[in-house]
Amino acid sequence: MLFNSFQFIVFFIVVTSLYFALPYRYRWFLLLSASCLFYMAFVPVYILILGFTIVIDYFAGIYIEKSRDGRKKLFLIFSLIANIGVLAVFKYYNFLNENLSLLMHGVGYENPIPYLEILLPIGLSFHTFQAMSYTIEVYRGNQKAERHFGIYSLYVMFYPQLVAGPIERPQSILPQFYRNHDFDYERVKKGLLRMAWGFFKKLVVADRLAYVVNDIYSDLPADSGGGIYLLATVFFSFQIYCDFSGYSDIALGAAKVMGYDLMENFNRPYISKSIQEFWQRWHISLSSWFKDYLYIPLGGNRVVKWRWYYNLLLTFSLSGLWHGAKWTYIVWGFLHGIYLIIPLILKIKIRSAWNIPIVFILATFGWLFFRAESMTDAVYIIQQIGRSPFEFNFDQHTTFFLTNCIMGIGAIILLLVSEAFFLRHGTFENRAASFSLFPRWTIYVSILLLIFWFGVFSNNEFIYFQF
Amino acid sequence: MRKFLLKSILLTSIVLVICLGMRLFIGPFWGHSTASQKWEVYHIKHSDANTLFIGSSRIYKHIMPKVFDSLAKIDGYSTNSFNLGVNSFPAPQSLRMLDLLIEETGSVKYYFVELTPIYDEINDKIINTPEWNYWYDGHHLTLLARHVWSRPDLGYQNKIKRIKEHLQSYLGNFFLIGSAQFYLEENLKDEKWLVEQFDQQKGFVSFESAMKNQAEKSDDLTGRFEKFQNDTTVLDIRKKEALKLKKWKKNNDLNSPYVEELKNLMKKVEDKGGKLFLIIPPRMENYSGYRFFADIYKMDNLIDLSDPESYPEFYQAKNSFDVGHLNLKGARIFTNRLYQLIQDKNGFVK
Repeated sequence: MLFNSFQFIVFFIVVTSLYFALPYRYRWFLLLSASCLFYMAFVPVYILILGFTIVIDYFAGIYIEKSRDGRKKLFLIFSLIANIGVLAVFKYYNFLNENLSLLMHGVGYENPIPYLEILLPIGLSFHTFQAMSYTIEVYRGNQKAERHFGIYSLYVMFYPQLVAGPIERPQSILPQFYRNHDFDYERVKKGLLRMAWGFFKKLVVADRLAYVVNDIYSDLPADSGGGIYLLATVFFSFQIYCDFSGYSDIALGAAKVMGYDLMENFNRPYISKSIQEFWQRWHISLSSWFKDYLYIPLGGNRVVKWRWYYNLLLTFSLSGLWHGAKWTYIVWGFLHGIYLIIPLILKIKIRSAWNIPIVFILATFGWLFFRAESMTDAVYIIQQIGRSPFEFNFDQHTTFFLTNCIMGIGAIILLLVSEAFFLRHGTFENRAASFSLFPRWTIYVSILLLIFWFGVFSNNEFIYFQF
Repeated sequence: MRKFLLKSILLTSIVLVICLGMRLFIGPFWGHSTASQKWEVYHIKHSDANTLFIGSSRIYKHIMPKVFDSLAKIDGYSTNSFNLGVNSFPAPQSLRMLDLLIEETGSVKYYFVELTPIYDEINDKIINTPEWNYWYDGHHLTLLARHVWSRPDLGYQNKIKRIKEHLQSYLGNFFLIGSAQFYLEENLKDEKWLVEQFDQQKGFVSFESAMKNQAEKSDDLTGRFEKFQNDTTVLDIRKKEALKLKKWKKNNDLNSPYVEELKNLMKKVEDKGGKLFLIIPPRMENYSGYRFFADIYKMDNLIDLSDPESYPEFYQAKNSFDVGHLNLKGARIFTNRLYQLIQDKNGFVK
């Protein structure tokens, strides 16, 4: 079920009301049932896959904790293989098979391996990574194995973050399921404010920009002028930020209402003064996952230079691959690896505010590949922009397109001004709640009216659902 | 908890009051561009009309008020008609327009309303947009819910799903969901020519002139015209479909709650000294929805122009613009036939 749907609003109200009405000891069961319902609203049968990985990892955690030395590692490897195996089959099988076909054709052979016609289970990349984080932390001794099967299942399936993160660490969230969270007016208010902020970003900004981006990136019109392609690419930078961070805000807000604190996943990434800083502000839960479980175990930066650069390139390329089974995602990730390596090679360490537009341009260039439907499309778009970056042929488009361009620009300006005002010294909800009565209520009413009057309610999926 | 509930109610009330306040400044068809424009032109420049045609594109593009009035004048009747037909405007939207018109004090004597099946399944492409939400009010929401619930051909799950979507749409209209885009787009569009035509041609605009003057671009008139020209045999499918209507009329005794609504509207018009006629148009894609109007078929004020055996000219390629509609020549014939049938029913009062 999408967050931006009438169904979810009803679901949230019912589940939250029942949550506070029920005695504490039954709440885990309510949340687990609600999370199952939430997940099954997409493709019901795929809950079996979730169930499979939950059972494997639950027992793996217990046996890892009980075992010594070699057997400990064996259970960890078994758990990782199960999770990565599920990802490999559902997400990467056809991609790998397609590339194998290309290779075999290149040497004059036919690929006998059939393609699979399967849908990608929603949120697969997120919950498998969260599950792997659990078994790794148990193995490292940082987390005790969870004995309560229901609580462990809830750790994997907790509905606010089930399908698009943040990817939580067991140490931060498991203990929270054992705490009693009473209804607290201030906390609930802040949770709802955070959700409203998320809905604003998703419905008013992201989905508005999507109309322009989808039109250009799907149709690749020949006579629009490079300026329109450039506009669409810049729009996509903000679309993906608002879509994904908006989802995270709604997830954090929904969890906060019930008393759970999820990790912050975004921190104004477009004010970064370096690519390194960008990755400390963008999809924080994923970048820290890759840092802790891939980059550092590979040696991180505590190795010889060439190996360090290799670690960076590999980590970021795999991060790209995590997003999807397409070369464009891998190129995007690889490009960010290159962005990090070049200052290291050239020994550049400037972090001035002048870098902010440069980092934005680099990030936007990367997003071009991320959004393009193929490498051929990406190259075409770059050529269009390069040919005539200041040419805007709106005559080739409908009034609807023009309307969305204008509203899109307005939405971006509003976003930037709002972030500068509200997020300068903390979160939106804390800042909004700090005002006196009249300005505070003006904010409440304004954000709701902005969402209603300027929002797009066509039930557009969140971009990160496809990962 | 009590403090939270009270403040939530207060916040909702403030937002509600603001939305209700905004509604004072917008027309009843705020999400439908053509309906809003025609409504405005009618009220500002043609409010003295005593004959109104209401319905979808099968009224809008098929009835020529000037031709109608000149035929009436020859026979000594004084009609001053206006075509309020609008693209994509079947029941229940058209019935809401009729409802509003009847409530107004004015000079209208004759209402000709297209009788269409009640479209209770929302198109996925326009759900939750002003394009769909705009027409909902409490009365029509209830009517629509009752209609859906009364359908024997729908399962319970489907009925609940549809009613839920309609409730959502009603709330969407109430809170003016997505209205900003609609208003900006209206201001950016250049529809001066179309509005002038509404005034000059009393609401009628032929497909040919719209295509020539590049009006109604979003309806892809050129595409539809060319597609039909490439294969006019599609008309045969429409003919076969129209012939089924005879079967639906005979073999059903089903009455949608809308039939009661129509009867009430007819009574209201009669109480004001007027007459209400219902028109069944030709060339619909599907006539199965007409099985829910059993009582209507017994009424005198029903004008059925759908029968390909009685009106073969409405199913000829030479009189057609696209598969569902007549061209200018066809519209002239349609207007003549309509007038004739009204005469045959002694519909006019001198």
